[in-house]
Amino acid sequence: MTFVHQEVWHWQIATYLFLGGLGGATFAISAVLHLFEGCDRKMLSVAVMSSIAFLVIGTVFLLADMLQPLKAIYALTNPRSWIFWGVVFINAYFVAAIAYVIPLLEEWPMLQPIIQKIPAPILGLLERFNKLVALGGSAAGFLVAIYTGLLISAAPAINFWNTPALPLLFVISGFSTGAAWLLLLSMLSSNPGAQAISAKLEQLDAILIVTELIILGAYFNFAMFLPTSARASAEFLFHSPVFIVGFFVAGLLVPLAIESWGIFFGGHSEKDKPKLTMLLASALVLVGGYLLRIYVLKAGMFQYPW
Amino acid sequence: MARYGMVMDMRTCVGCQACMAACSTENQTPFWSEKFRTHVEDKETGAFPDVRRVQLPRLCMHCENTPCLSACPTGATHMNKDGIVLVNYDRCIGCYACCIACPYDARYAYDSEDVQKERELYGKLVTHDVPHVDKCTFCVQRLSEKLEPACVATCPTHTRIFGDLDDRKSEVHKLAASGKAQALNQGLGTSPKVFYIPS
Amino acid sequence: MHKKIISRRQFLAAAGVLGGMSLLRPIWGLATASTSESTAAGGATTWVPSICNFCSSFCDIKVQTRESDGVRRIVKIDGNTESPLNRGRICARGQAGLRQTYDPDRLKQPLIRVAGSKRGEWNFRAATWDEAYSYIVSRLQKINPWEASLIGGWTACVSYMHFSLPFCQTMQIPNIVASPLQHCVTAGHLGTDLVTGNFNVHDEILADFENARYILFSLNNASVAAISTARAVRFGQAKKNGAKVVCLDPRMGELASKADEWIPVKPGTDHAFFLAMLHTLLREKLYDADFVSKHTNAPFLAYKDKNGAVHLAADMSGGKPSSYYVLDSISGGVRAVPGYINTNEKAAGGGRIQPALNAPAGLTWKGHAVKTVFDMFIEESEPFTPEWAAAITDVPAETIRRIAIEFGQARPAMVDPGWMGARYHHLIGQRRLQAIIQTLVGGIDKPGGWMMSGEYHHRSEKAWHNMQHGIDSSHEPPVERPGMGFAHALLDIFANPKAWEHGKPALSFAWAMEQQKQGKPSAFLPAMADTGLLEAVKGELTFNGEPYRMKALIMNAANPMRHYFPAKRWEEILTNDNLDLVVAIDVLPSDTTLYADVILPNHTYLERNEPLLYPLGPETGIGYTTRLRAIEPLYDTRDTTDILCEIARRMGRLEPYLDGIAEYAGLDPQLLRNEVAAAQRAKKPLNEAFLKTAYVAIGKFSGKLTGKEMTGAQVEATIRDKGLLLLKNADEVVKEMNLPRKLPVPTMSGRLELFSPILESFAQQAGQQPLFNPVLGYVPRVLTNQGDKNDLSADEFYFTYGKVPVVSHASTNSNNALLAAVTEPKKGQFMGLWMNAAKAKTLGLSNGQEVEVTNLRYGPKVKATLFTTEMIRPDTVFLPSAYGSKNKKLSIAGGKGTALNELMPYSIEPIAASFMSQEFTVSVKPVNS
Ligand SMILES: Nc1nc2c(c(=O)[nH]1)N[C@H]1C(S)=C(S)[C@@H](COP(=O)(O)OP(=O)(O)OC[C@H]3O[C@@H](n4cnc5c(=O)[nH]c(N)nc54)[C@H](O)[C@@H]3O)O[C@H]1N2
Ligand SMILES: Nc1nc2c(c(=O)[nH]1)N[C@H]1C(S)=C(S)[C@@H](COP(=O)(O)OP(=O)(O)OC[C@H]3O[C@@H](n4cnc5c(=O)[nH]c(N)nc54)[C@H](O)[C@@H]3O)O[C@H]1N2
Ligand code: SF4
Ligand code: SF4
Ligand code: SF4
Ligand code: SF4
Ligand code: SF4
Ligand SMILES: [Mo]
Repeated sequence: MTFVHQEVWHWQIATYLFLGGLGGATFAISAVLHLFEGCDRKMLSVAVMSSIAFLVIGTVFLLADMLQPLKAIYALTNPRSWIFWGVVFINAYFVAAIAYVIPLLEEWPMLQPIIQKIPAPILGLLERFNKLVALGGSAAGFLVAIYTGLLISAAPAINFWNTPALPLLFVISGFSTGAAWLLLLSMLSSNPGAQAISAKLEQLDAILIVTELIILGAYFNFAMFLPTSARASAEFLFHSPVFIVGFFVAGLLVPLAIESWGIFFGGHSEKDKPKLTMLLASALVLVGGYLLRIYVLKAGMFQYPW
Repeated sequence: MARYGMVMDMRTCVGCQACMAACSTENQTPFWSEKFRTHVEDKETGAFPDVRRVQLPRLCMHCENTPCLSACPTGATHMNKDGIVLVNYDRCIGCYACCIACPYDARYAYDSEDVQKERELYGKLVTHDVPHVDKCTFCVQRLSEKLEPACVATCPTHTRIFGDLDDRKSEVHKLAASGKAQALNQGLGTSPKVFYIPS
Repeated sequence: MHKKIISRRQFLAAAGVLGGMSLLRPIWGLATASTSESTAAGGATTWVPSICNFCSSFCDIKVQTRESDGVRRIVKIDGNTESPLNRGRICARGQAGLRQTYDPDRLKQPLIRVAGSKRGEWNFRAATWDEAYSYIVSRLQKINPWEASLIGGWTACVSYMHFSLPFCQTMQIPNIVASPLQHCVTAGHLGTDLVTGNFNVHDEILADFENARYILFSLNNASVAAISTARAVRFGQAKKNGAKVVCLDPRMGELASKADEWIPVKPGTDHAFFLAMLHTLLREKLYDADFVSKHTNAPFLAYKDKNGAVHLAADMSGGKPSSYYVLDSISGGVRAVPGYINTNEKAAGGGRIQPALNAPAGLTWKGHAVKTVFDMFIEESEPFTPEWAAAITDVPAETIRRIAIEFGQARPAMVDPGWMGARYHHLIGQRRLQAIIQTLVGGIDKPGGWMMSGEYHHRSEKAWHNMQHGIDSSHEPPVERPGMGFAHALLDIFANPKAWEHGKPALSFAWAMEQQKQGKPSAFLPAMADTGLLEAVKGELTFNGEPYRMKALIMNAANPMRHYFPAKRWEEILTNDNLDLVVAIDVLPSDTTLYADVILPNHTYLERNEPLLYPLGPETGIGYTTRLRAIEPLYDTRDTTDILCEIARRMGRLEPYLDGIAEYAGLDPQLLRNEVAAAQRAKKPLNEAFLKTAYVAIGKFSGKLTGKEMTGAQVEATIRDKGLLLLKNADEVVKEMNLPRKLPVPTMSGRLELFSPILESFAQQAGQQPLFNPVLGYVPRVLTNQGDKNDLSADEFYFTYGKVPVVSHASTNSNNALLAAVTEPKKGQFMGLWMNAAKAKTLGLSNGQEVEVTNLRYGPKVKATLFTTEMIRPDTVFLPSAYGSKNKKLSIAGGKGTALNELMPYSIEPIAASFMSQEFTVSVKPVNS
């Protein structure tokens, strides 16, 4: 048996996976907030626009990594392939996100002239089904987030990836980064409506981080269990300082500590909250999420039978 | 319709690399970037004097249960009527999903630099005119001329045995059916069509 | 793992032109038909038969070419499936051969060294062929003929012998330095030849592994598994048939890795192993008594003279034994048997006898106390017990005994004959011992044993026929004689002052004669050796009181600067100002071409016809083949034949030269002249004229051999179609012309010779020494000036080397991009200095580290990259003969590899002047320590 690091997918794909998870989750959380919490439309529009941007950039990274990106449309041929579904999900996502965001854009006076070019009946439809689209969009966002994990878990000889725990981990981590991004937006927003949801997001993110920690524990426990390449991968990660310090400590524990502190001791008025630390926590979660993708890809090791 | 397969008799492989050189020339693979459709592993185990040196030739296993094909979104990777797993160069977008999915390290990228170098070396006689992911084809072009695959035809020690697994008279059928030759990594359920007689 | 599976694309460039929406861009229409299923592009495909040129295994190949836009390109080489020799298979070097033709670094036109520059600097100007010839001839005209020498590598030796020998004779140049002899052929094969009578310039025995049940290898790797294809195909079959394979090698090479039992013998001690094996076989009576008594000189009676020297009981006439004596076990009396014949079954003058292998004590012949040769072997092998050998070889006594017994009990059992020698003083003795053991089990010219080549059978039969019919064949050229007869005939020319108008023999012999006169060490058979060359160049050699100088060297397909031993000596020779002319004929700017005055570019093997038809290498069947050009030459290059003819023409000797070639090659001289004249008129290469004439000659020969005469055109058509013309297959040859069951072998007695009259004659001249013992003698390795050495200091090692599957000696400079690429994944095994991993650890050395290897006996140092492995003895290091070169004109090999011959001493043994290239120890230290 030989364990060999995969040398096929690198940081470009990690970027795609990260932005896919982030974008998908951002939209999904935003839509859920919209549906169940009610939220400032301006902030929502920013969030959704940014999530679209994340996915566009992510897709550019994916395409740029291909040998023949101009033929990418062919990827809609084989439904047994996860990439096929990725394309479907992402496109569904784009459709939903755009359909959802257009009515929200009316909040922005400078965009009015553009919006007005859209025929009224369509606009009307979009307005009418806004909540429904939010529902569908959040599903698409979720699928995009989980798809990033499904994509790489379909490698039979990369034991570390080839486990259902990985999509789960990616989806949780994706939602954690999404929550962190929204938290960041809400805190940067001057809009009181946006700020109102900060606490919610803070709690959500903390819960997600705790969940992520539990999954990570189970994941590594599984990986270390058998002398397969999964163990070699796990050991590789344990020996990577950037992963341990950058992802695990700075990307999970520190933000969790900050957020927990904020939740339990931070007082209840927004003004009491040390804004800077919270911004730092969000940023750390985002960086951590990116590092996770990079390192999970790096740690992907084939187990060859020779 | 055939079900082509190969048997590697590891008792005789001396690791001479003739198969690699033959394949590279026949299929114009990018030796200039050290990429090959077939490789020969050379492994030692044990401590002096109880050492073993094992040479293991490998290529695409032409799996019946084909993870690369499942992973390929474009249908570029397909199986022909003879059970040979092939890549349609023009359909391939080079997303590498198949490379990640393949448990046998059988694929590599024929990238745009390689395409250019091939043109320099072979002039008009290029066979890889667009970038794509490449792999062993069991030399389909030779099969249609009733020639054995290049690596098989040249192997000096007759390590590589090729034929139709469904043909009861063929050597490969007999060896595979007898259980003397076993596939690699059977646990993955890929059902390879390349079998190994242990050394 | 191979690196760079996927190379990154220019990320930003791509990112720039794309947007996320490009997913939806419709491009269905772009598809063309190119898939992995489509056959290759281009026009008509043609197959041209040829012979591989990368090692002396002489594989038959078919070259595939394809045309596009009026340009024909070589696209693939395959083994020729019609070939009984390599059976359609070829090795990595053969496969990659076309890359030599398309190598951008090739020599593309004649080059002349710029006046005033020094040899070794690479300061050349392009020249026309006319200029180059004028340069050469103007220098040759100024010197005496004996002051020139040809230097040929094996390609030159095998393919152009019929041209170089008559060239020498016509031009009265008595000197050829032929590399394979000192390095390989006489250095090792002479040992087996002393027993079998065979001798060939490049490998004579094809071991029939596939029919053997037990195979024992010693000191060989490349000769089978790394790789000589003809042998590898048979070896692979043997493994499949379940033969037991035992391999003696201090490290686990490719062959040893396939053995059932690997015996990591201490380097340079195999001789002791075989002596102990013989000891056991004789005592356990594990031999084919019937065969030995009938077809060998074992039952001959022999006696010891007062000095203890052994002589055969024989009657002499004309300096040759006319009869030998045996003890007949039917009559119980001593009976004479004929002097030269294949069998001992009939007494001289008639009557069936049964020669005894063992004779009772007290037997006398003409007043001498006599014993059978066989009894002498028993007696002399007494001390060589397995226990004795165990202490020397580091192989347990039980193992040696067990192997001997297993070997003796298995039939057919085979000791592989081995191939390359040139390592230790005992090598000729060791190979002789291997042949003796093979003879004892009756495994000569028999399935599962040593098969003699078709060519050898045919020449042996012819010689025997001539002899029986009183036909005088002394006028025939040496190449017409079989085996050792050929060697003797060559000696009659090159070692014989009277064979030359100027009375000077080859300088290697002149040197030996002078050394002997002065009581200094020399060699008996420095055939085509380089002994005396340096002295002659420096002006120090005298012969019969007259100076014997060397002023012109013409090298063809030879790369002494990289692989003749040692490099320093050749540098001294080639840079000496006394040399007025150094010509190098090559295809690539090798290290040696750096030192030439004139470089003549040869066609590569795929661009040329050969001028003759050649026998099928060591194949047992009788057949002929040649090289046919696959494409027109790419550059302004020429054939060797044309070069030699043109030099002869400008020296005014073309006519006699052509006659000489016709005689050597068995061509019709008139037809040849006509064809040559026609070619000259048509301004076509002369070599085609030779080939045409050769087709006719082989057609006639076919008539003689098979009764079916063919026209030249028919021969040519067969060659073009099948790649070879098989006149008699192996089974028929072995049945009809068995050596020695049907025909005498070309030894002194016609039998297989356990007792060696040639060694006897050496002992006669040089005094009794184990090295010249015609029965048995143990010769330890000579690692220091004092002899053997067994206590090594901590960083001291025995030194070994050998060949790897991807490089040939004939291209130590191999600049082949494909071969370099397939070497890459095995860089450690194929290019590194092997050292035992545990041992390396104790020295603080690690895998991949740069180390300095110092020859502790002679001083030179080289650098190497360490390969640590458990596959080698802790007291031994191994350096592969990897590719590499100094000449930076070679863009792939330049600056790579470790030059083995920079570590070598100039150390030769006294029989064939072969190189003692492992008789020293080395230290290994980290670089910069
Ligand atoms: N380092 C090292 N040295 C060795 C050995 C070893 O294993 N390692 N082995 C020894 C043995 S066993 C042998 S037999 C000898 C062999 O040694 P040789 O027979 O002398 O090898 P060459 O044939 O000289 O090959 C050398 C040159 O031939 C050139 N050449 C190749 N093809 C052609 C051609 O078509 N025409 C012409 N004109 N030149 C051509 C190559 O470019 C190269 O420069 O080497 C001995 N020396
Ligand atoms: N790849 C390749 N194949 C070739 C050739 C070539 O150039 N390249 N050339 C052909 C020619 S001309 C020749 S002469 C033959 C040569 O073929 P071989 O005669 O097989 O010579 P080497 O390959 O040098 O193999 C020598 C082996 O002997 C081992 N050895 C060294 N010292 C000792 C010792 O003291 N005792 C024992 N038992 N083993 C020892 C080495 O480790 C090595 O494995 O190969 C032929 N085939
Ligand atoms: S050609 Fe045959 S013997 Fe040589 S490495 Fe390949 S499989 Fe092994
Ligand atoms: S070995 Fe790899 S490339 Fe070949 S069929 Fe199986 S999965 Fe596909
Ligand atoms: S790289 Fe080509 S063959 Fe492989 S999965 Fe992608 S499209 Fe299919
Ligand atoms: S079958 Fe053909 S394509 Fe496949 S490894 Fe062998 S030579 Fe290469
Ligand atoms: S063994 Fe290889 S290098 Fe030697 S002649 Fe045959 S194919 Fe050529
Ligand atoms: Mo040799």
